[in-house]
Amino acid sequence: MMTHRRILAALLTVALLSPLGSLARAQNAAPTVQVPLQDLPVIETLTEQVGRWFSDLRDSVGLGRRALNIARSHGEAARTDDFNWLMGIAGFKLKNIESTLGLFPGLTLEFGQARALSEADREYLERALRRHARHHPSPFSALQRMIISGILEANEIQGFSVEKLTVTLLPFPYVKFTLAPSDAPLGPEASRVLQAIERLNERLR
Amino acid sequence: MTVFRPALLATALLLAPLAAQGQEGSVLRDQLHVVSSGSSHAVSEALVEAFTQRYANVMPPQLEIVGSAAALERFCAGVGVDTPDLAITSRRIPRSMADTCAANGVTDIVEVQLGLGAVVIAMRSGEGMRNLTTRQIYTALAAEYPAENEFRPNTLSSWSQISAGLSAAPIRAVIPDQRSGTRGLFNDFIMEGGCREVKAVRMIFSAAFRVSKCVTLRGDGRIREVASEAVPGALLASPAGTIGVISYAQLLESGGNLVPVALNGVTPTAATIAGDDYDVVRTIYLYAKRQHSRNAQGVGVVRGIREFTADAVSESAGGPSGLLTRHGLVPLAPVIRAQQREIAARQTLLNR
Repeated sequence: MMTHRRILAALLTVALLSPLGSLARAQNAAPTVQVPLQDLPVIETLTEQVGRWFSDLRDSVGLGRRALNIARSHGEAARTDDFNWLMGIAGFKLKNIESTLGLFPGLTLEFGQARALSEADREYLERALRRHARHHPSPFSALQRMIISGILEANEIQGFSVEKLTVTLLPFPYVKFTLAPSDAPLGPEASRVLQAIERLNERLR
Repeated sequence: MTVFRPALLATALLLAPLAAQGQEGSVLRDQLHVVSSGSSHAVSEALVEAFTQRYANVMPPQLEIVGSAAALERFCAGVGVDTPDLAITSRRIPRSMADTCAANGVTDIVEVQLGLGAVVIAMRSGEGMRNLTTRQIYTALAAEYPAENEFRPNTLSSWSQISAGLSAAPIRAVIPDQRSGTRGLFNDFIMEGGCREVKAVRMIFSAAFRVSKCVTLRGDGRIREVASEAVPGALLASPAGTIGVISYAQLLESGGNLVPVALNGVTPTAATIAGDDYDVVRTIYLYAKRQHSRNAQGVGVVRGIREFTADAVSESAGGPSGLLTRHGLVPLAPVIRAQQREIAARQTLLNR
């Protein structure tokens, strides 16, 4: 019985060590490669190109891994350059990211109004845009600023405010502003909440 | 027999308008009416005085000091003898106000930039703090601070309670009262600016509620509100460690007795203000109602609007060693100054 166990252990040891042994042998006996080292092919397939554009676009709006890494390494400075940050000071928060892959990949960002702007907020935003323009003169950055300026302009329309903003980057870039009357009637759910608050107020009185 | 002389007729036709121009037509008002915000009163007074000295035979302009918003409201109230011809403000006319202007018939507005004004946090020379952030100032001076989903009264007593790196001096401040434009800038840029960094406040949707929480100052005696022009004197007489909110002009006037505290790491100097690096800076604007300018046909309210505007943006006023610089304004960049002179000379209309 003891002998069987020893034989089994020896076989197992041999089985486990044999690949290392063969690897060592293979390293010792590796033939010399005669072909010079090659560069990576420069020609991308269509899919690869589209994929790269997609990543670049995603990065440029501060959603990609690259943007996140930059933000981590540069901290505050990078944060201030972010489209999301500019949208944040414009009073909008990212609600949804819709990303589709296929022959024509799609990327849509949906922002909702998170807060109304005060006069000082507007002034601060205008200054942030001026500084952004100084540091980022590229056409894409200019487009980002145009979107934010568009929000400011739209909010100036008497009696209306920008409720939702949809930025579609792919396949064809466009921006959709959803304006709502400032004194729009409340929906059924909001009405119920309001009535509940009023009832609570009455009870407290 | 009269000889027809075409040359004579032509000369008469050419000279006729000039002769008409030379006639002393009736003007509806013989004095310019200027409204100015409190923060730019020193600038406005300097411009009015310079205009009076330069044009010896004209009535000195009537200058009214009101707030920036009130100045623009009055300017936009309409066209006519009772409404101002010029407005000097520390705030650019908002689009909504431009719409109000247009609705009231004020359609021909000329806008020029005069220079840059700044608000400074100052202390007595030789005293402690070198740098403060807007958030630290908000934390020290706001009446309430957000904690656990509610606002609680501010009970902080010393700067070191806010940040270990700050002085242990008690929190005390001298600030201009609500009528002053400097206070408006302080509220907008420092208190709201500091407040904006606080997530719990940023989450509040209503701008009015948020602003009220940001700019309401504590009322436990740690903050003294005085008239804008009295702040430097009050600061010099205050206990050690007191901070004051003054204009850049007042800082220069103090002759070194007051020193600026760097704000968010930037010390206010002519270079940092002009370079848009210092945050608490606002452009001072002059608005002129071109419809009031009396023209050659005798239409208009008053003479002198174009001259006043041109003088205000001349190098002798807004240049590096100009009149306005001596009153605390930081000159605009040379290119922008040239643009303003062009606008004033051509009386180019504002297009907003």
